[in-house]
Amino acid sequence: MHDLKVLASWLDSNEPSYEMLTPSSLPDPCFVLDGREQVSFSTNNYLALANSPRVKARARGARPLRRGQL
Amino acid sequence: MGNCESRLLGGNLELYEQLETKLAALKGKESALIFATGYLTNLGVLTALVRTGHLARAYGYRSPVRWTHEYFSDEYNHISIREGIRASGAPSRSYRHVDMNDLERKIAASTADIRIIVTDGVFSQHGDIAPLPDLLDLAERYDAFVYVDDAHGTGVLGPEGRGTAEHFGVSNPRLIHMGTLSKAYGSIGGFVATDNYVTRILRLGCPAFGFTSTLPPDQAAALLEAIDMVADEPDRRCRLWENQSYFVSRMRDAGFSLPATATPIVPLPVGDEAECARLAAGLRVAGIHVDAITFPAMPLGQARLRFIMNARHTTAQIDQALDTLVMLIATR
Repeated sequence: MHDLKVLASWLDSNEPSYEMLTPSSLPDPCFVLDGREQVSFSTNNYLALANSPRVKARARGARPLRRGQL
Repeated sequence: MGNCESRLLGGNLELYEQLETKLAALKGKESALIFATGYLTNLGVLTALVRTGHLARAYGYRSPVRWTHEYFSDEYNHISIREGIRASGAPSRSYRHVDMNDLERKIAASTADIRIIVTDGVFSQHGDIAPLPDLLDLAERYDAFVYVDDAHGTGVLGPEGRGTAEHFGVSNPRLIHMGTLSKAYGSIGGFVATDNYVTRILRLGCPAFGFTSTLPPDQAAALLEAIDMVADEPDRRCRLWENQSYFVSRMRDAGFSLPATATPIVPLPVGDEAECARLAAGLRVAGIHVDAITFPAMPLGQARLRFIMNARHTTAQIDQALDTLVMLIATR
């Protein structure tokens, strides 16, 4: 892994600028970032299904059911 | 919580088969296979499709012919497609973005027995739609297959939200549908929907399907509900498209020229990387999060703000995004 060590030390002084956001909630499409609400124009949660009560209820009820039980 | 087994060795719950049946019906195909993520779907399937004869040797199969394969891939396809094709070891040619003449030139020159055209359905950075009818026409004429990655089309495009093929009203035995479950459907995973004979072979011959854990069961259950909701709560898709057309018309009224307006992904070309970053930062201050798509996701000098519209955006939120953008540009 000598190549990675060389690259890592190069990165120490040449790190490309990039930003990885760490929000405290996920967009539906509003989310909280650094304690502040943001409206997301970048989420793939197009229909806001990820956070919908119907979907969450179904997930909570999931058990490895036998055929015909769902 | 998790499924600690592989599908082939005890981890194959009824729930997964129900989901696969639903996805196959959604795409109008005989059967489907699910994978842990969309990325893994492309990596696994594109790798396995061209190596089935080799993989089946373990079961004693000896191919009567040494088939040759070649991939033809749109230059703007997602990285998981490009990595999958590369890992497959099959020859491949990249064609200029949605350029049917370039594709035809390349496919006509191919001597491979089996030709597979691979395309995104909706291009995630550009927001345009692959010309599926033209691709299928080429596929008919050159005896090829079309593998469409409908990550951003599934749940969004078409009268019932079934994706790019439904958008164009096309259905074709040469079409292999791939999609993700982590975008409109709001969960995690990916799938392919195709003919029974293909899924049967992939089930055994695609290690990314059989030799890894799949979706946690609660996510598979959530997906059964989400797919139903796309169908039985059409209001969500109505609002998505209303918001999309409101945003597009307001942007045009404000004098912006938009290269793609057919999907909820609406990019605004900015050009300069620093200016694009400045606009994104200014919007953030106003509480609007928009991705600045810059190098290396786009070539240098072609930076863009990529707006993705949402069913739950309010008119006030869209107005605020647009007014802030106009103000930022005016105060450059």
